[in-house]
Amino acid sequence: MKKWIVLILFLLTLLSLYAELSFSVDAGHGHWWNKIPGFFIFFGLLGCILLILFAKALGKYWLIRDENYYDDK
Amino acid sequence: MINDLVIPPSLVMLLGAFLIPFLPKKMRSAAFMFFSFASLLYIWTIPVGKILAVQVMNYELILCRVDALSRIFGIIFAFIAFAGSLYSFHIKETSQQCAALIYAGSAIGVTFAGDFFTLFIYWELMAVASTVLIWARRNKDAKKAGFRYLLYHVFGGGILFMGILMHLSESGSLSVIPLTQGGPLSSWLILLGVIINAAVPPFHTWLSDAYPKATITGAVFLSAFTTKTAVYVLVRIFPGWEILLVLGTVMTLYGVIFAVLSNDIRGVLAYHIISQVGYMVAGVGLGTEMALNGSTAHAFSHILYKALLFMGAGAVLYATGESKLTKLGGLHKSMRPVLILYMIAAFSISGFPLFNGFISKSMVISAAGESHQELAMLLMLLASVGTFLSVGLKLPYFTWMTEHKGLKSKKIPHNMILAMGLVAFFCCLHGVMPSLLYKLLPYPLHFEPYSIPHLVETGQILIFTFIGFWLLRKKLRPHATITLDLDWFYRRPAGVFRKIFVDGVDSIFKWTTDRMMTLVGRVTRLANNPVALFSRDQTDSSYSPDTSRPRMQSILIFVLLTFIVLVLIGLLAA
Amino acid sequence: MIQNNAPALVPLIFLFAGIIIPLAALKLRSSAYFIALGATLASTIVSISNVIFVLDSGPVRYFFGGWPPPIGIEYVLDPLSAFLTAVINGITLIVLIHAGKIVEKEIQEHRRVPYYALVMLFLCGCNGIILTGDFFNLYVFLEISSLALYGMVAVGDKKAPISAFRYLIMGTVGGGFYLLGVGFLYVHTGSLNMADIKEILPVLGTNPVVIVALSLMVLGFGIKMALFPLHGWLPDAYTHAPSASSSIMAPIGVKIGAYGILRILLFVFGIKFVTQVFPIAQILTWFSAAGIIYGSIMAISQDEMKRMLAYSSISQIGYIGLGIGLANPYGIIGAVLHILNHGLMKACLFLVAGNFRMKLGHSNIKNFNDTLRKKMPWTTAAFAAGALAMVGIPPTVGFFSKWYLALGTIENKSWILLAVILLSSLLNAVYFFRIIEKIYFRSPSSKQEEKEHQSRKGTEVAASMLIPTLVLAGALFIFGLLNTIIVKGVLMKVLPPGM
Repeated sequence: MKKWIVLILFLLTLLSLYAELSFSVDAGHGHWWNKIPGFFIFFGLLGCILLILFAKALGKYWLIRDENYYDDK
Repeated sequence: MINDLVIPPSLVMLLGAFLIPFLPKKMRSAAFMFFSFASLLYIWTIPVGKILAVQVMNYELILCRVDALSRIFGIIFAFIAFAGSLYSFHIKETSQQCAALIYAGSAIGVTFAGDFFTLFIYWELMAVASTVLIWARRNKDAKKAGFRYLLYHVFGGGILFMGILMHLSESGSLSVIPLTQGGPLSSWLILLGVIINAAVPPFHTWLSDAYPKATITGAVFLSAFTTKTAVYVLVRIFPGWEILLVLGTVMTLYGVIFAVLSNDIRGVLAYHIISQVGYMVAGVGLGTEMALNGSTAHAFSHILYKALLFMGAGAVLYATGESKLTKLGGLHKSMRPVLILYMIAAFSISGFPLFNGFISKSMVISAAGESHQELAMLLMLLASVGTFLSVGLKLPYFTWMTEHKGLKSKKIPHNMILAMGLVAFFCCLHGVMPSLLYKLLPYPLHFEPYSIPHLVETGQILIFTFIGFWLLRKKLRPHATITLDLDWFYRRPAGVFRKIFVDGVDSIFKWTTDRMMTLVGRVTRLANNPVALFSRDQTDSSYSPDTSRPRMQSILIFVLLTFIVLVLIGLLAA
Repeated sequence: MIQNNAPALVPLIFLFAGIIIPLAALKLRSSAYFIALGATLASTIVSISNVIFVLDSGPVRYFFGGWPPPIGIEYVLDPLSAFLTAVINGITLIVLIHAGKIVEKEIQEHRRVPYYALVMLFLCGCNGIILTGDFFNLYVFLEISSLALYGMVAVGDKKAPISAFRYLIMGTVGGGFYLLGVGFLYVHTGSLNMADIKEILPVLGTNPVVIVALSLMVLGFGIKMALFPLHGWLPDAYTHAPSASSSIMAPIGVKIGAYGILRILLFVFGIKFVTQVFPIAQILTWFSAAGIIYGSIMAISQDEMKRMLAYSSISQIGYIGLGIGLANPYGIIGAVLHILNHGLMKACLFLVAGNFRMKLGHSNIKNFNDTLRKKMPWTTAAFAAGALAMVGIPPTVGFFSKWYLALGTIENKSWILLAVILLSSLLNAVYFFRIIEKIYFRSPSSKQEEKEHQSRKGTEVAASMLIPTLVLAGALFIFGLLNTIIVKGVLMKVLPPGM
């Protein structure tokens, strides 16, 4: 990845952590995960990776077929 | 019941569909745009509260009922019809133009219908008109897919009709009213009929099968109307039905996973419709005012950005002739405007702040939170991850970045770019000024999308999904494959069905004839009547009227048997 | 004075036309067609004015020779008979306008004059059946119309004579059964007049004779109506008859049988008898339901368009039988409305088949492709309209009759029958859209394309054939939109007394 993109993403992440920690959360949004700072960092990263791996596994072991699978009918 | 002469808005477009074939060829595309725009103006200016009711036989039919909910759907339907008409300005095929007008007009008809009968009539019109848009592609795949699509929808319509008739006989009234949860069988049948059109799994395969095979311009219309009309009906009739929350949440993830596996750019987008509609269905299931507002707002935004996505994918298909990711790549130099406009829609669907997806999707998710449905909230956020991953990252990356496969690209007509720009403009506008959308919503609203927690949450998800994608991008490399889905059940055994329903029936007919003749022969020999001997038929493998023509004797035997049946029953009963 | 004589006028116009045609043709052969057309036009006008008159002033009874029933023969114009005569005469008029050219193509020169005479006799028979109030007189006209029809079928293609012969056997058996039934009824009640018997039957009470008589009469009409499983004659007769004959018999012929059953079951014997004492109405619904499904399934496997329409007719007549068998107001209204609607739909579709045969020489589905749409756009549009109506897409007529029938099944809580109606709509969609897809979207294979370019065949048919087709196609929508007027204004009055 280009260096400047990495830099911007890093700065944005820091900004989000700062915003999270310094502004208090109001009662309506007080779920258990709001108490963990940076929760969505892990959620995004792990979620993405798990989705990709799960989808690929689902495809490889079960659902993927050749393009012409239905054509002889 | 106010009964002054309100013209139902759907008639504007239907009138257009009727008139267009009679207009000179050069005027037709312009007329298409004109009628859509006229509908939009009309719906925008019609005051809330107008009703048009007529008495037919013993029933009151409400042909047009305007309230906030129907108005907002009507507005977006008319607008996207207009954008679509601009996008397809270069298409000179009258059948597609008329079909699209009938389709859009019927969707508006359903929206403003106040009674089930009117609703059902427009529902069926939508199914027929949209099939034309699929068949118009004219290749073998589209022909078969269109057939499956039509049969699926006629089947769904039949179930809806049964539910309506049962509901009518139970309640005596045809008017469209919210149904209480867990009601009688009639409510479940109506629900089933509606969720088939909403493409709720397991009834979604018509969408993933047919949409990628439709025409370039037809797909834009298809993406906007059928499912969102179903969402409208759900919001109106089934708010708070808990099963919808479960189905909706499952839908969001189902669509996303299949989208990751798909190799066709429009296939990815089709599965995404299923995913995004899942948010709307879940919102209806939650049933609170904020949730229903969320579903409505999300439907509005979704129509805009999904149309733009299909327009972009359609432009790629138009320019290169290819829609498989394995064959595309490296188009960022030659198709730069399309890429930019596509990415606006991609940002919207992923929920980037400053675009319209953000202001609507977060409403549904927050509504889930407010109702303490935390698992649903987390799953929906996970689906957002997947959405950005497949539509915002995988699709554009493999279409416009990566290496060039040597495709020639034709020039894109200007009207397509203009249409894309128009829609993109509204995606940005609502993102920046959400109140413009919020004030159209049916229920009063206290929601602030641009709050720090929301921005933090969204920002972190987006950044780290991007990072996750970048790390695993080699794994996402497309292959020339298809993914099996639930349509396997009716596509694989198609040959079997043909054998059962056609060849099987006449062999049963022959078998019955043979048995009966043997029986009668024995009986008459016993009674000592001189009757000619019967010989046996040969069975054929396909129906030919000359070999399977029943003999006169066998026909007359049927007559005799019928007589015996009638008399026996009569004498026994009396 | 005309109004009092009105019931007899209609069949007599046709009878005289049938007699005059061969005589006039001795002088000028081509006058046969025009006399036929003129007679039909006159009858249609009289029938329609009869409908208006009867709705205003009530039933009209005409005694032949001035002799009062029950000894004399009477003709009765009540809302049902007036409506049905208007329907059959009107549809025949439109079909006859179309028939001119196709008869010239398909029927040999020396047979045309007798052919038109037979058509007149057929219509005389049909109108007589509908208008008569006497059972034996009904038999007479039944035989007149049947014999005329056998002749009309026999002048078709190579297989027509044998198809007509098979039809003759079955039809005569049916007529024989009917006559036997009338005989039993006469022995039991002493009268042949319908209104009279209606009064006498409850007094005499139930009796095996009455039951057997009713079964025989229903059987006789059932054969005429092609009620499943008595339908064996129909596919061949419709397919191999000349196009003009098919177009006349399909909308009208089988409806006469349905009318007979309706009159006998609901007006003479009465609803209470046929539903509670001898549940023949129930049995009728079972047979009709079986016929609906059988007809639809068999239609799917056909390659030839007229044969497909024949099996489709078996299915559609099942709807009418179903409506009659339900014996409640919605069912009866649905059945009578479907007589009108199906008449329009089938007439339109058979005219389309006739147009195809006129220009292409065949109506074989396997050979259809979208050059058909390009060369004959109006005819294919009419076909599409007919297909939409048969499937039952609103606002075409097909939808409204199915709606009333569905309401009738719900009122009787017969969910299976409701499911049968919906299933058959789905099946209808399959076999009609198969053709639509071929003629609108299937490009011809290249071999066919060469042949078509070389042949120069297949431009749109002449106006005298095209306009009736389009009028009927338009009627499918207009009568759909007007159906409320028809139901409220006419059909509500058609119901038997006591509903």
